[in-house]
Amino acid sequence: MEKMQNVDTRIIYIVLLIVLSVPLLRPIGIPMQISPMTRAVYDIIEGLNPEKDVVLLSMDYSPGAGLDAEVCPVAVVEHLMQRGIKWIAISFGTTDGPMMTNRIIADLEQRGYKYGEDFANLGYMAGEENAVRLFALDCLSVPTDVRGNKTSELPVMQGIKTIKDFAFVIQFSMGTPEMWIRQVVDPMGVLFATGTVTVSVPSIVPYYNSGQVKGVMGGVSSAAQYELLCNKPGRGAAMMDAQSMGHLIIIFFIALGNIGYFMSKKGKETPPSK
Amino acid sequence: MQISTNIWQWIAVACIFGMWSLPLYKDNPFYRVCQNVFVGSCAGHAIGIAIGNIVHYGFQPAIYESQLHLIIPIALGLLLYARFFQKIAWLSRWPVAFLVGVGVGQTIYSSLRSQILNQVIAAMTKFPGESIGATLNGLVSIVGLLAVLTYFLFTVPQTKFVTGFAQAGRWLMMVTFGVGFGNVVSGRLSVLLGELLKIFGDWLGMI
Repeated sequence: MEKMQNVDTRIIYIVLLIVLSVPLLRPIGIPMQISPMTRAVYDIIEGLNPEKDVVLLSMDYSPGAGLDAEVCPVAVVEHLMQRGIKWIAISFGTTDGPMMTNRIIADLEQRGYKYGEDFANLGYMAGEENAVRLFALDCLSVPTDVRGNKTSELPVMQGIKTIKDFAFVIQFSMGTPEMWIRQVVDPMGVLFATGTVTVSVPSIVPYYNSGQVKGVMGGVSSAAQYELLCNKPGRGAAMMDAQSMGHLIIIFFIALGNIGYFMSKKGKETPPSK
Repeated sequence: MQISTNIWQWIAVACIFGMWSLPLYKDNPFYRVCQNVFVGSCAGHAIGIAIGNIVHYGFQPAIYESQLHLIIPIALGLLLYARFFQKIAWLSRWPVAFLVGVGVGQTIYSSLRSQILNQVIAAMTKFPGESIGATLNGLVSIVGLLAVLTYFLFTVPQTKFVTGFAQAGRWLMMVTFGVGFGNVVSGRLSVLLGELLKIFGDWLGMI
């Protein structure tokens, strides 16, 4: 019983690595359900007009969050490009945001999309919540983009003065979007959604239920659902089988530990004294 | 299988193995090198971005576009470093006071509206709802809210009813923590999967 409760962590790690690797190399095709929160983001972008609408992406995640944070913006940007919708990225929450945006932009430029016309990266604006408010009131308060171009002269920025000129705002972060809700969504009535890491989803659900956040994407599973909605399976979809198998293994080890605990407790119970 | 010839992929994968060597083996120099490379590169990148921001948002407009009012925030920023000089350390309190004042002023009113009033409004459900499911959902939500709030009521007599209702709130919180833990596990697995994709996909070319 003791052994069941104290499995060597190295055994758990190795079993996990094997169980995750196999379906990654040989996908099983476990069916997926599309969450209404993910579908809401998809529907908003489907409803945009490619002729005139511009989307703002607030890229507030770091490489440390791994693919759990990166797959959602990649899926959404793919959808935006499929529909020919222009977008602008800016970062408020982390200095790594512009670098993460550049990774997405590098791929798009290789495929022939034009920087400045189809999208732009305005870089990092220091000041967190105050910077969000300043940018919302005056989008040209960012003097230059990451490539040194004047923001006011970028073709994609023409007609953009305040945050209300964006048809849709979506923040990709590693946490929750309170600063956007406080400074932009509630006071200015902007259409807003968020993409975050899986861990943060439960904290955002109250804002989704209240209607302050119109759609929520959470980590790999949401990205996989989004890729399916766009009929373009990518990295998110590739990981879902392995993710499901990983969950099963974790459940197995939790059950094993608990069975061991209850059985050892039962064995230790002292018989009633005569 | 087509192994990558990109040197950066090799370095990335070496760093992944380096970080894994801690849980799978024990603390070792390879792990410490990888960890220090990560911390150093993150710090260097943040400093580079910060200097770029000061130049783009401060010095350049102040010098080339004669936006002289920007001298005030630049001076306040410099005053933050006064704390390193004992005789004028008190000057660093001015920019801190400014930052705290603006930050608090900016968030107090908006927090009240966005995180309290609007959430309270959202908690008010329509009875009966549009369907049986919606009615039940609303009922669970409102009873759950009241039960959890009751758990944190310490100034009312703990009658049998109050204690029982608070206990229900406690159970609901336990369920919420379980959901949170499940999401943590799922999120960490995604991070691990990302690393495996780098190894099998970007490096070994097997995916």
